[in-house]
Amino acid sequence: MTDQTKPLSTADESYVAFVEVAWQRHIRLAMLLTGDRWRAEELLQDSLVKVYERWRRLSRLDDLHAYLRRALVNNHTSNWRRRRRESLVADVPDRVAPAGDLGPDAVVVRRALMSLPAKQRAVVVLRHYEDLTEREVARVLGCSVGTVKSQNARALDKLRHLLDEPSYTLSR
Amino acid sequence: MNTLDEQLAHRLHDIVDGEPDSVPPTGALLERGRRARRRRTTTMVSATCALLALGAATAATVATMPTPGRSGVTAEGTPPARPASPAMELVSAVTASENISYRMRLTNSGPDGLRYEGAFDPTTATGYVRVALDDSIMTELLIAGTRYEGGERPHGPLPSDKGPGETYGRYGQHPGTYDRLSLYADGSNVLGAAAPDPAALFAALKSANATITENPDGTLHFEYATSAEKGSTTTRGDVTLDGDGRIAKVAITGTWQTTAKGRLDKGTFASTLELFDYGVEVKVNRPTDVVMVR
Repeated sequence: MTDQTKPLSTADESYVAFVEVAWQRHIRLAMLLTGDRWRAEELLQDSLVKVYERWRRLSRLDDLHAYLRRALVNNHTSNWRRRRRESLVADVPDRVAPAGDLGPDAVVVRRALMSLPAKQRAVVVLRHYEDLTEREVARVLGCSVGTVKSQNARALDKLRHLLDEPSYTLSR
Repeated sequence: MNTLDEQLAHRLHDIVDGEPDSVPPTGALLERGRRARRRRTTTMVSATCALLALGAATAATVATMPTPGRSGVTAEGTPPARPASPAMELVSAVTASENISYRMRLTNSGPDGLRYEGAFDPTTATGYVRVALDDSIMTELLIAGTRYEGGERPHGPLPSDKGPGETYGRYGQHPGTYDRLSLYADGSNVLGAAAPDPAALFAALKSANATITENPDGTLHFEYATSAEKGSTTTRGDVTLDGDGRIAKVAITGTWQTTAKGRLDKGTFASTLELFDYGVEVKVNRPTDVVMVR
């Protein structure tokens, strides 16, 4: 018997209901972290599979989306570290997807964002896209508020520097 | 807008807000999740299912060839008979191991291998099993048929990225009653190798057609293969009996492959299930922090 033919248990039904909401809510966060839709979907799927493994326990948490967000960010950071270790090149930025229908400013910001180290990028995305407080970002990343502040400052400094370069210039 | 700080949120939204919605691959997620859960908790379940499959296969053998004064396999706890074949020796051991309490230990090999420890009394539907993870000790309790699942605080220090959000010592109480531990596996799987459940035995018989032989050292050997739409598993095992003819150890090795991710992934697994202290008294206290599982 394959699992696909198996009727859904109550726990599986509640998991599927969660996934249907979580997918739309977190896919864009994953895209900002990874730089393209294909990797974003892979990252989100991997994180949701980990959630499934512990679903019976996790389903009692008050804020499952916060848990998934933390899993997403930490999975991405650890994947990124692993790829760095496996690479012969010292510093390989994540691949950036084709521009598609993005406006020129969005393309510029995305290129600059993808040039940041994974953790700095996570800080920027959580702070400025997810609109979390520094304390909330620290909780997601499992680090101190001071680290969040310093990582954010470094990231913004680097972004500012990059965006001042002629090839990156934003329209004002 | 003049500063990068002020612009950034808008620019980030510009990058992704125009992306079309997509449909989550819930079927694939369920399939991967079930497989991951099985790999994680469950090489134990594999060991148990293998044992059940064996019991089922051999039970069928015995059922079609009843010995004098005995009509096939029962859960009566009869003394082990002198078996005439490896298959009958195994079903005899399974029968001797039924309806009696025991302690168990399952060790999965590999760098991420886990060790499960617990005890179970099938006559009172009471037992426990726990496994130490990096951020918690995952625990399942079964008290007179009522199932609780929760996590206890680990003995060592927590990893830097774990801990917040966890409520240690809180257990979820599942509705209904159960006659065995589930160990977070699918409800169709059975933790207790000695659990008296002919239906499970015969269901396993349908899904795994095991062959049973005897090793030169007297232990029993089995092999079976299972396949699904996107993958297959081959399992081999050796069963050691104790001095009372009960199952003492089941050592499992196997290989699996799957194309669920759109590519061919392969792997191996190995685990050892030990059953000991047959007849031990199993008492489990109800946890104090309990919430109902919806």
